[in-house]
Amino acid sequence: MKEIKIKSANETIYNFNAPTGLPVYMWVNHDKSNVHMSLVVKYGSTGINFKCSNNKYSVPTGTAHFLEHIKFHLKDNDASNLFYDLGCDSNAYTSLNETSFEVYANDNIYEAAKLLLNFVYDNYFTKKIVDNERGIILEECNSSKDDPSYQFFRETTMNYLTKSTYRYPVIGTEKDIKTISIDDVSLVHDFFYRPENMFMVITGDFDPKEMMKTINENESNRTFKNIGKVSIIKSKEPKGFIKNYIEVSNKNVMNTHGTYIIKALESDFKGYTKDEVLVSLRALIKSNFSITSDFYEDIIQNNIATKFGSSVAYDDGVFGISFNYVSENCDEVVRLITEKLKNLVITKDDIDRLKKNYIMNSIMRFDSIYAVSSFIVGSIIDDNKISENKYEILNKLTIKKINEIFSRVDLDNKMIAIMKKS
Amino acid sequence: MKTNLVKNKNYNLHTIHVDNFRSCHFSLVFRNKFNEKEAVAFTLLADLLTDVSKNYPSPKYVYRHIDSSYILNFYGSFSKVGKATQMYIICDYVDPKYIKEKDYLDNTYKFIFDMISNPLIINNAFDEKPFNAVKRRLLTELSSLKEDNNFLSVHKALKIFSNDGITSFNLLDMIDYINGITSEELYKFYLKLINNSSVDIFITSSTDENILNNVVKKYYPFKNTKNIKYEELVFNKKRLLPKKVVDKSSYKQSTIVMVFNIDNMTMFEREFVMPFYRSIINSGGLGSKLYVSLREKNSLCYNVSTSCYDRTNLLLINSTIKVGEENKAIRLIKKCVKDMVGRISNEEFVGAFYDYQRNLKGMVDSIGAINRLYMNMYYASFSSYEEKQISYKKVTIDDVNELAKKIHLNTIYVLKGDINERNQD
Repeated sequence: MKEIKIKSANETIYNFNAPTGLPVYMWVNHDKSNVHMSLVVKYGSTGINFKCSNNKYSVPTGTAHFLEHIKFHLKDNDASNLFYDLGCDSNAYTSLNETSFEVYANDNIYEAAKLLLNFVYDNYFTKKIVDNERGIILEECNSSKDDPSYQFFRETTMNYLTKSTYRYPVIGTEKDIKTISIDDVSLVHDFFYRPENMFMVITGDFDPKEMMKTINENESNRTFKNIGKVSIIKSKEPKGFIKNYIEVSNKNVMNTHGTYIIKALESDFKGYTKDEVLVSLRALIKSNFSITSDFYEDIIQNNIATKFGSSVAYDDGVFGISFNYVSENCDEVVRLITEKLKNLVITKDDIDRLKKNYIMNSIMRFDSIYAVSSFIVGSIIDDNKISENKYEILNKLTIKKINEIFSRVDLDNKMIAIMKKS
Repeated sequence: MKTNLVKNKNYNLHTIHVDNFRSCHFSLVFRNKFNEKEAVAFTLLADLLTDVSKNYPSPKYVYRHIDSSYILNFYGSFSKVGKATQMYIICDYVDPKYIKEKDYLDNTYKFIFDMISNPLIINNAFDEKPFNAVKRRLLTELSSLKEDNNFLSVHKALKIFSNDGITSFNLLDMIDYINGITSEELYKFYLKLINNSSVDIFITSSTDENILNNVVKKYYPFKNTKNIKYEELVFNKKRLLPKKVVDKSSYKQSTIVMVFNIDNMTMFEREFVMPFYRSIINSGGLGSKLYVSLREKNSLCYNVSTSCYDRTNLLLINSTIKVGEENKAIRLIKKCVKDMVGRISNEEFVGAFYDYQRNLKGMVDSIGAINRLYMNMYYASFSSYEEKQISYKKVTIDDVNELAKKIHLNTIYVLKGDINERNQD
């Protein structure tokens, strides 16, 4: 068993590979009373085009999420009932890059681990199951359409990303949900629900040796047909937007919402890693626009906006610097952001506060079996390893480097969106 | 879990000793009898007192301090609990054993009490700028709530269910009052808060209780607060026949809310049998009665939920469903509720038993949940963790049947969606 040290929190995560090649990560804490298990498939909503050998395949948007729903159906039962019978709770989620099946247990832990592995590997799909689940998913889809903020986010994302499959909703479009077939979900299951494309994370109170033995025994009885290398086909996202200004109207919205997004491509930052760019931009934006900034104070206390938030995200080779606000004077907010962006300042004190904050969050994360699990899943999905890369970058961060990275951002490459009551 | 209560003249200090966390949880509760205007004022104060003070005259200074002081969260909130109200000041901070900085614990408590006892006051009124910012934020949040079909429907259903002014109270009904309240008036409410409230302080941490007692004693600023308990339980009238109200909307889904009276729950039913009831009918997952009936067999909805307002003695079931299927959904919900009397299988009961056991064990992994557990012991006379571990095992199917007989439908509210909106995409 390998040991992975988390220096900032003085913790150890154990890692081994099961006989099938499935990587398993474990964080053990006997002070906790429960166990959280995640079996993660490195396949999410964005994987709608993929290839294997020389063949290319496409599935409708929402297939990953649809598959996650119907996975729980077994031939004569439902997996969630079987977990329930063991005294455990089960759940699942689909995101852009992963599908995760989760169990929360404090009894029959090792039995639950075997059940989790076996129900996710095996499949039982019928037309009746698919059709029945379609109705449920369409209701889930409709409930999100009744949420104005979510609708605004969707319209903005569809305008911000023009080619990337990250532009589609995780649940899929209503039109696509109506067409998803057994063949689509079976294809995805056969290609991606395989140990080499999955990993397992277990956190909480358990015996790691017993867990390793249980998983190894279960996995040694399993064989998987070699299908060759499967990879997701990505589209190269261009620099521009569909439109530089969009107005969304909604019958149910009560306040006027605005979004201001600057888009930069990874290729604009040659010589720097993705994490260096992310950490630097986040430090600069947080220092100048968060609640600790003069800008935030002015805009809120002078009633230019009633709510204001900023963030820096990375999706599919694209960095997005976003500002979201609720304001009856969105034009003025846009003018002030544009002005401020021309003159951003970061001090040594700002960087020191960020470092302190990072250490504190790292220590506190280990109070919760969910937070540790989420940290491990996020690290593996983002970097394919557990690392404190961002902390190391933060420690070496200089004002000069931050300014140099920010100078590569084309501030004119922006889009503005507004949502008003119709 | 070792607990200790020190009764002082102006406050009670409750310490809950835990050794398995890296953080500590502090909550100060100002407790009062419910009053509509005070509910508005205390909601604003909860926000304002944690946003600015004389020593930290704008939120940026507060948050800069928090960021550099190993404080995880510092905020205020307000809630109505039956006939009582509670205004909370919450602070989560890193356990002092992990921090090398001198006087860390002292400085943390000095900061918390300084914020709430040194507000930014000019001429017997709160400073206008932060006061107006907090007021605008609350109004924006309230108008956002009007976008939520589920929230609106529950609010409307509770208004139909009861007009006692307590059960259905929501700040949404107080918008005119919020708009009109001045910084002078709010300052008067502040004086009332610090002079008339009953104050309890709950600290869940590994720090020695004597050290905590000393540090709170050193910095606790108020001289006139009290330590009395208020009656919480509210009993609403039953109806001979349920009342049904249907409204139209432009949403893509319909929302159904059904409100039930619960007759004279015993303490044992309130604390132990009700969680079994909720688990079997709904909260126990996709195998529960409501999920099987509405979602798995009929694909009418994605989600359905059941809540028990135990201090108000009511049960509420709500779901957003396919437009046009409202009557079918109501029929199915009624059948599930009816089936809770005499039609509970052994499997369902065992599932609920495990559900309770898992949730109980889960409580001790969360410092916030431990704190809530202790607050419920003190305010609602609920059992301790150790007592709970024994008592839930005494619940039987007959107990659940008996509780089910005490549940009577009072109100059905339907916010009908628009089929044309649904077909637009």
